[in-house]
Amino acid sequence: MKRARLLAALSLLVLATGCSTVKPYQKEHLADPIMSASHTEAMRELKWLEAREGSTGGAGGAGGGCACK
Amino acid sequence: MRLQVGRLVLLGAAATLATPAVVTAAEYTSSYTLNLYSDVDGVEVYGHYLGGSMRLRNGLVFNALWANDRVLFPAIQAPPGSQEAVDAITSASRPIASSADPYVDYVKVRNAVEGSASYRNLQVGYYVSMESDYFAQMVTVTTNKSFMHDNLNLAVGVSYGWDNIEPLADNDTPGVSDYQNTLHWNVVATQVLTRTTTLRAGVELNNVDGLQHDPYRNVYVAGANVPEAHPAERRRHDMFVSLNQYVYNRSSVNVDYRLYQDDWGVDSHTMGVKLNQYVTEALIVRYRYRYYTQGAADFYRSEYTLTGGVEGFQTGDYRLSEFSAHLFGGRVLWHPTRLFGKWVPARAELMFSYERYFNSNNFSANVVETGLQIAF
Repeated sequence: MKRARLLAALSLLVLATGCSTVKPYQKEHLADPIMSASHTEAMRELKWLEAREGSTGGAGGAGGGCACK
Repeated sequence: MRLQVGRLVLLGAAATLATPAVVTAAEYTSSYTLNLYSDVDGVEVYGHYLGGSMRLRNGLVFNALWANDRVLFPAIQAPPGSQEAVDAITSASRPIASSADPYVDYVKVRNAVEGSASYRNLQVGYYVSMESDYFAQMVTVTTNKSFMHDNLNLAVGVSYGWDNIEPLADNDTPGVSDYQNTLHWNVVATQVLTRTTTLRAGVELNNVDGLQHDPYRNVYVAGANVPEAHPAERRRHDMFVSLNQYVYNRSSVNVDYRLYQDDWGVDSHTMGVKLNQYVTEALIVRYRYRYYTQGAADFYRSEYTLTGGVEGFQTGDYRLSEFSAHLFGGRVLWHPTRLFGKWVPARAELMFSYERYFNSNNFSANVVETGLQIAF
């Protein structure tokens, strides 16, 4: 039941983002280094936080990127 | 066998990291990060991370990372059998084999190697970690696909980890070999909302089975000092969203939220905000704040009054109690184009960060990181 709620919430989020189309040449700001997060850094942080807290996750797994390739 | 696997993996990683010129690579990146951790319990961790990435002209990408953690546990100022300090990087705790052991410092070393290869939309990876009492391996497969003219990216990942646990000699807990297996799934969607905004959302599922308590830690139950006991299965899941907004004075704001729940009864909320700002063309600073709050596991008690704990389980792990935590800090990134009056021939990035963590259990820690990344 909890999983179903999580999946439903994710689906709603994705659907709610609409069908905006940003052209490749309009993605200059999205490609700026200040808009990207380091997955390696996130994993390092998750490792020591997991050792201090009862939760896990949120580093994003692999892939995803910024959809600006 | 275990040592041979370790040596082979270390040799492979060293070869990958050290041979950029052998293969015709379109781009080669190497990085080194030093992570220093110290907390109020006196635990200190020195972490070294050496990474390399190679992109070939045919689009194939190789990544390798070697991590070395040296964990120093201070002498325990309490009788053997008390709830020892647990270090914050490896979750390791110290065994106590003789009555003199608690009163001297204890050092534990962890070596880990991670390698991955990706081609087009597929990535496969392998991870191995070695400690004196813990040997972990994991394989990962991830694929992603873009839709809506590259404005939406969907990624699906699965990984399977299998760990062997060989507790060292300890004077009051049974040193029995055990295992822990983890099956992990994640689905992540990244959507471009506008020319300056992206939204990332994902769900993760983790099924863990095997040993999940500290094999060296004891708990007082009905007045008796007995080994900790956690359930052998744990189903963990979380959902996260992250909004990234570019602001026109050359800065960006990132806001994120994570909801976590598991079948041990722990649920948590994590909220964070990061502000990135160009100070000059070559200098970027980042400020951040993170708030975390969680509820207790069903079987957690600050005091166990009945024999058998709660349905056979008992824990001395404060990570299963109710608490909240704050983290704040700053990071500086410098991309030098000139050094000592000369042009820097490669794209270099120097990083320094400081973070302060504290929680409602009167625990606090300092985390300092510095690193260098060079791309050719």
